[in-house]
Amino acid sequence: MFRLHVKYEWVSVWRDRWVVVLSLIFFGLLFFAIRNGQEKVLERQASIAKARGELRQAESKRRGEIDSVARGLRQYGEARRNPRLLSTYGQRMGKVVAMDAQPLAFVATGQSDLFTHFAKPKLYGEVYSLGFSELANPVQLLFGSFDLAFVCVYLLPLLVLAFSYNLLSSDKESGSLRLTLSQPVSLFSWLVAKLALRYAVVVGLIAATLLIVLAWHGIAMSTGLFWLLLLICVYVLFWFAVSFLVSLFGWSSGQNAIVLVSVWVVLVLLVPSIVSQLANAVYPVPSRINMIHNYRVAEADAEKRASEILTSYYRDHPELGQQDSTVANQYQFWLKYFASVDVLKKAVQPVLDEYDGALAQQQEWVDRFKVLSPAILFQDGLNDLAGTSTAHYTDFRHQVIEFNETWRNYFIPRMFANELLQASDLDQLPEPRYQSRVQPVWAIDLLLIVVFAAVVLGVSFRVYQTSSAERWLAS
Amino acid sequence: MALLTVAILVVTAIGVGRQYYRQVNEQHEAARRNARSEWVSQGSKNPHSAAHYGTYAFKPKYPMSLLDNGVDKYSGVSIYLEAHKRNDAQYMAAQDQTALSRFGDLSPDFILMFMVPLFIILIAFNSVSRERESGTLRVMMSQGISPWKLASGKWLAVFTPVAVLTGLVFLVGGVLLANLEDFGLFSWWPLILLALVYLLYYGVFINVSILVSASVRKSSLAFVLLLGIWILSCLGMPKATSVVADALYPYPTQLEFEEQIAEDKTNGLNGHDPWNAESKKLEAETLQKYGVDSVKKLPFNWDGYLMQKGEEHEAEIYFKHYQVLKEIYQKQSKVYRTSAALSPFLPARFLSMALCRTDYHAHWHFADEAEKYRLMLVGRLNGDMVDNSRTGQWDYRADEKLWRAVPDFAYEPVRYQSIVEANAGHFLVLLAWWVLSGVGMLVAVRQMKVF
Amino acid sequence: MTSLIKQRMLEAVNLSKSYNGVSALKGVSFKVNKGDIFCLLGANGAGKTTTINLFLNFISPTSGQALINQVDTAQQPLATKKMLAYIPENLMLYPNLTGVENLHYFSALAGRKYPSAELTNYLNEAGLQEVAHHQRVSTYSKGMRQKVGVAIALAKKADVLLLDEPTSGLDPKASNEFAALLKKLSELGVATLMATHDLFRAIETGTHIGIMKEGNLVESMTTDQINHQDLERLYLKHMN
Repeated sequence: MFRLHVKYEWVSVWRDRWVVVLSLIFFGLLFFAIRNGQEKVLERQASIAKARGELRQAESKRRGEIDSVARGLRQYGEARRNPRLLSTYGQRMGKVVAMDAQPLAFVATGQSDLFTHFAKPKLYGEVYSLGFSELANPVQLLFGSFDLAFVCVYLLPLLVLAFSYNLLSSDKESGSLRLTLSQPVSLFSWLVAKLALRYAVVVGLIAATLLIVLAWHGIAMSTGLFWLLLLICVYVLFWFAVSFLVSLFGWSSGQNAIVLVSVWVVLVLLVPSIVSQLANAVYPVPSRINMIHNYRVAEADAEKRASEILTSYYRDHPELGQQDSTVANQYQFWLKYFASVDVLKKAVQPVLDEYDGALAQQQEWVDRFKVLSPAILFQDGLNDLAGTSTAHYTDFRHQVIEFNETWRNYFIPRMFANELLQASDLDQLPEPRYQSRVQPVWAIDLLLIVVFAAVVLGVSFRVYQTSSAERWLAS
Repeated sequence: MALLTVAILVVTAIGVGRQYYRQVNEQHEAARRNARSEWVSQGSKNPHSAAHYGTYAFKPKYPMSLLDNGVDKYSGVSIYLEAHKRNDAQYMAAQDQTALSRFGDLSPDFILMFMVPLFIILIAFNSVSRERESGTLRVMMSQGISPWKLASGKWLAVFTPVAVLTGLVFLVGGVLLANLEDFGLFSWWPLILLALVYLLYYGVFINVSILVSASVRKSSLAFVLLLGIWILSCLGMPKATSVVADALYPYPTQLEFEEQIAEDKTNGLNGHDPWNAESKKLEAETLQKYGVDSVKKLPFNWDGYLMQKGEEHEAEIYFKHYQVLKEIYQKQSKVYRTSAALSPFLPARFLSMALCRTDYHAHWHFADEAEKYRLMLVGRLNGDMVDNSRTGQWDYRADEKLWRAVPDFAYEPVRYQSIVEANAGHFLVLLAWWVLSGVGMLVAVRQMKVF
Repeated sequence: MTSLIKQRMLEAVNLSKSYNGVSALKGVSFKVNKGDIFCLLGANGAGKTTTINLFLNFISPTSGQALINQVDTAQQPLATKKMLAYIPENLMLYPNLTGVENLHYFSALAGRKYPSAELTNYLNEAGLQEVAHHQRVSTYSKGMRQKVGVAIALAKKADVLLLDEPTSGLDPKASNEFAALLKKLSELGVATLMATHDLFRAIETGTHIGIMKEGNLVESMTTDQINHQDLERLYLKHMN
């Protein structure tokens, strides 16, 4: 019996001109969205490759210079211009710490338009002022991007609703429902079969479109794609469940359409924005500006006590004392700076920690709000799969800061020992190893959407049980 | 009724936003005071060191930003002003928030720009088609009613409640905003202008809704079409235009930008390196001018003078590169202006942001003013060093008197007159939308099928 | 006696239905035997459609029973639906499917699968011209759709036929063809319950007549007991 419903439903669906038109439009949108996402990813990778390439070139050039100076084959004029100086090398030739795009990065822009994807550590400059912004037109950031996530989170539900809103109501309105119900079939199984077929059609359409468009753009297949498809299937299931529930109330096609669009507006537009507003009101982001103020006060103070600080620094770090104290250390300015950084850190670290902690807590709390709408969950899952969520960028920032430390710690003791670079040293320099340490959360998002769908289906069943056939036959 | 809910939502949003706004402004006020006190109490030191210590400029928030926060969330709030470097605005709010915030906030502009047109569609989609379906249209037309009367009747039926509610919302909003203490600079004119913009915007949607309702047989089809138009105008076009604008006029990466500036700096005049060619030339000229043979004999501090000249040169380099950024932004703006032909949302949005002083142009103005202040600040400090000390006198110290003598950064925003002038183009496009869609509506009603 | 009972294909036993205290049907009782064509007459809202809906288990009776072949429709809806065929007023079918496809689909729903030759036969028997068999139902006139409905009823080989205003909107020729089909079915032993306004058809084709008024069956007779004029007079008498 099921096969019968499915067969005729299939025939009905494809003979409907609008279905074909909508499918084509959707295909076009997906194509544009994926293409867009892929362009961004290629740009990102290109800029990383360029930075790395330029650094390699500069490094080999410097290696040559250092080598010739060390062998006395080259003069450098003023002391400041010595290529062997640890300070200049450390400040200008930092390695590129880069967050390469994950295989599914084209799926969701997420936060990737706000941040830069690579950074070079420096010896000078405070951690809090390390800029991670990328140059962009804020209008673009405001409007958001036309990526796969946009098409799936916002437009896919509408496609689902268009495919299913009049499933029951058009039969009721045309009267063919009466004829169907006079046959020995249960309304429930009949409706489920129709929906199941349409669900299969929508999911099949998306999968086929995805595969075709991906092949077109030469994007490699990966296991992540399977999870992506699964996540999409679950989201689509939720919306079919909503459509199912609404059709069981027996309203007209027009009323169904309005009710379903209202549900879409509430779940996809209103709830996320209300939640976002609430999150900011209830758990506001702690003030960075306050943190800066504490830092600056400590900084001004440290400047006043500069040499005093350096002396006590030497006292605390006897291992850094110079071998030959008769020769003035050529890095005198830097040493004072490093010593003061140490003092500053001790004075300001509690403020920094407090800030970081408060920010982490705020984001944790806000994360909990995501369970209020499947749209939020879905977007969150997509960002996670694409590697462009807030967590990924926070992690990257931390790794950049960590590498910054590592980089400095290579140079500082050597500068205190008043050394100069050898060409062979260049092979010993610390290398950044970026590895995403973010725990994937998409599985949780997926599960929660399934819960949403299950709840809706459960309510539907209850509604079905408590309604009489009159509801679907009265006109 | 639906519109009443909308009105309540907007007023609530303003109320809630007020709290947040007050908080943020208090933070900024405190920060401003702190920055000034940090500056003033930095102790006695060489003026050039003070220039390196620098200070901060904070972008103020204006009452109208409650109605439309524009791009504020995506642009920095403070600029660090120091010698030798022009910095970008830091602490973009969006970077410290989660991806949830990218969904948009339930701010008044969200409701006014997105939700109200949707409600208009919900009310007006079957204004004509319902009559056709039920057969009453046939009766009406057989009574001899003119298409103009029919159209205007339907139009007013939708417009009147929308206009009344918009008026009420803006009135209440205006009163709430006018009563925000301390964060003054509120005037009613821009509010009225903004209300006018919104009324035009809503008028376009009413026109299009009635147009579609008159042209299409089935009400459900009208609904789907109008929904599609709404999605295209408010969601699709802005995003698609961003894609095109970015493809046509891309920004360099931050690193590229910095490296280009660094390159120009190395190849240009700088203040710390007396071996640089330009500075040598300047030295020779100055020595000749004063008829002495060594910089030590000059009647002022040559080091300070050189550093100031270097600063000016660097400022030129920065100006050149930031100008490139500005041009990219302006070219992208043109792209948005062009695609306004396909979406009434775009000109309305830009107008709204401009009137609330939260568009990118306002940000640029702040950044430019901050840069002017920075140059003034560094100039004063270097100048003091030049006049009050001699070459090589690196232990010269200035104190609080000098720090206080430099005025605090007082930002004067763009005057409304120039905002209106700059955005006249957007206004005309929106007006054109209103007129053309209105004409389309009248034509559709005249030619519609009666049964 | 048993053979008499076996003849009783359709029976209403004190059937009542009320909605929120308002009575739509007040203790209606009648029976339709094999081969009978029982025509229910009455004004709009008299309870004709309600009666039919009760036999279809579209609604449940407040009291009383609706029996089909002695089986209570409220107790065993699926079993009783197997035994009946129904043609609603304004039969619409699936517009994107052809006549044959609609017939195949609805027959299969009832558990009967036929090869296409037999489907064509049923359509022909119902009087649908062969040209139209493979055209989409959206192109059919009301009479043509009616014929597909009849074909569905024929294919179902049901013992009971429920009709709701079958001749409304049909031109005289189609109406005539329909009447002939009804007679044929009646000869095959099908018990028919027909709700109608068409007094003429009721006398012409029907074997029994019942007049309903405000939920009551006020008159019940066989057609050989009355002629057309008298029926009309009787009918109008109850309408006032």
